Amino acid sequence: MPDEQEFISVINKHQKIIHKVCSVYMDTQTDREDLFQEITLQAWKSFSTFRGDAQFSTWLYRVALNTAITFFRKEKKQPLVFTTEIFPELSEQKNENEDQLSAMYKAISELSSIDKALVMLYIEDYNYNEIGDMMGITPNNVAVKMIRLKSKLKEAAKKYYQF
Amino acid sequence: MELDELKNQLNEKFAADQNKSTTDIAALLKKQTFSIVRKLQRSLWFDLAANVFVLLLFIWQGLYNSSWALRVYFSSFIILSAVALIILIYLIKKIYSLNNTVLPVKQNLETIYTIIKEYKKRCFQLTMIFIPVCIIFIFLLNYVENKSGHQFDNLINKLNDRMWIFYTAIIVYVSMITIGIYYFTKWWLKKLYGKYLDQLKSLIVELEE
Repeated sequence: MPDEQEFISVINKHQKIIHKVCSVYMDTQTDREDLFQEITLQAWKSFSTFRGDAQFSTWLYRVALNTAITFFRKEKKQPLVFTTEIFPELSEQKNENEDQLSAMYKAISELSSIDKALVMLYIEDYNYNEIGDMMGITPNNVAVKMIRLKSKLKEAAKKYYQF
Repeated sequence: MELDELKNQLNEKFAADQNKSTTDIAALLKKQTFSIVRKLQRSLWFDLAANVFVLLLFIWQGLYNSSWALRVYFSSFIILSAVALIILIYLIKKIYSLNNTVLPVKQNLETIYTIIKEYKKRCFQLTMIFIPVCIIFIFLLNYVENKSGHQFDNLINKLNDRMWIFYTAIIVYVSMITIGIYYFTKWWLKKLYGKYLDQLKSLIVELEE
């Protein structure tokens, strides 16, 4: 039986990873809370299998992504609509950089759950080998997908950002 | 505007959510999960409960039914229900062990997909095999049993020169039962697992593209 206190302490230390996954996959605070709960529970159930031969953050990413990707809610919701919860200051003090960030965020929120996982790991600075390991695909496949994704995001972000 | 230009800022933004205390995290561990795997587990537990109920019913009927033919019939199906029960327990154990293993995303999706698809296929095949077996079995047993055999003979004697009515009725009855069970089983399995399988399949296909 894994040590609950040890688990709580290690999750507390790495909780940013779960928050990131929740922010990318869910657009409302309530949904993010639900997903946070689900990821934490899945991590707790699998904690006994963590052998320490990989970094805890990499292991937690794998748990979090597996959970987020297969996280289907009871009712199929409308396509994700951008909310200002992630960028609350937008409505008050607009600046160019924030506009670009919000446009990219909106473009990411429209991606499929697999593409979101790839973007997440990419912005976290994992290399293609590590991303391939986590996703269960080859590094070449990751590279091809990333090229496609970057151009897709560039096009999609243009819709939301006025030059 | 490129993803690479905004990479670091996005990373910070996504992480800039509220922090949870250790007490909040401890409280979360007491709650229930509601993932797709959990839903599948619930479906399998439901099947298991239904199977146990049917098994007990068969045992009761096999022991106490007044008709000899039906006692033999239900006793025979106890074995088949027991086999189905073992398959269900195996699947539940497999899903629980999968739930505690952290696989790469694609392998995780493929494993869940394979288990459920296999279960759905076996369930359908088993039900379809049961139809002719049940029908032949019940007719044979009724014919062999003296009391029912006389009733059967009486019915045939009454029809005598109109045997085609008897055969037509049998064919219509068997066909309707077969078609009804075929479509009901398909609908039921699709309702329980169809949507999950479609979602899992589309994710696997996307990863392979």
